[in-house]
Amino acid sequence: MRRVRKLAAVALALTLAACGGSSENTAATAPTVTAGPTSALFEGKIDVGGSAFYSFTVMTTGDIDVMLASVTSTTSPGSESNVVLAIGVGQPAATDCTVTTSLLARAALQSPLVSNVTPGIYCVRVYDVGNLRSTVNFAIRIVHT
Amino acid sequence: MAPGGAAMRLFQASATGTVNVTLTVTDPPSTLVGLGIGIPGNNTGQCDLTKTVQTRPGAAAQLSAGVEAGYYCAGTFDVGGLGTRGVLVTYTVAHP
Repeated sequence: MRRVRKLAAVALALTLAACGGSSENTAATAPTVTAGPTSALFEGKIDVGGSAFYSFTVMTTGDIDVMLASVTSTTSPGSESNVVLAIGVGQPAATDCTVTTSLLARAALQSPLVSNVTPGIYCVRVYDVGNLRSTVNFAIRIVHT
Repeated sequence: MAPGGAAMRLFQASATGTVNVTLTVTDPPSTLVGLGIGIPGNNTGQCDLTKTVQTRPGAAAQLSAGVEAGYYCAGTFDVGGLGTRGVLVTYTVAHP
C-alpha cells in the first residue's frame, strides 16, 4: 500500500511538472481559418405558372451570385429552352421565399443577379412569369460567402 | 459514345471569357450528334446543359459561350440517330 501511495505521489509530481512546463510556453493561438465562397447547385423542375426555391446560410458579409445555368425540356433530354424565367434573392418566409431582388433571365453561364448581404439565412427563388408552355428542368448555381 | 448516351468532360475556366467547343472527328465519319456546354449536375451525362447544337464534325467551333471563372462541362450526346455500335467522338474545348 505504501508503495502504491509513493507511485501516486510521483505520478502527481510529474503531472504538475508537465503542466508547469506547458504554462511557460507561449500562449496557444487559435488557427486562422479562411473560408472561401461556397458554391451550391439548385436543380429541379418548374411547371407552368410554378416556382421553386432553395435556402442557404450566408456566414460572412459578401455577395450572392446567382446563375440560371440551365433550362431544358423534360421530354427531350439535352434540348435547351430559351424561355425567360424570373430569378430572385430573398429570405425564407413560411413555406416560400420572399424575394427582395429579382430579374428576368435566360439560361447562361454568367451570373446576372448579384446581391450583397450580411450573415443570415437567404433563399433563391425561380419562377415562371407566364412564358412556360410545359414543364422544364432548371439548374441554378449559387455562390455565396 | 453509346446509343442514348453522352460523353461529357469537366473543365475549369480561370477567368471570364469565351469557351469554344469544336467537334473535330466522329467515327463513323460525319455522324450527327448533339454538342453541349453547361455546368456539372445530374442531367445529360452529369451535365446540366445551357447551350446545345446538333452538328457534324468540322474544323470551326460549332458552339461558343461566355463564361465566368468556375467549373463547367462540355461534350456530346446522342440526338437519336446512333447505330447500335455507337460513335467515337473527338472534340476540343478551348477556354480561359
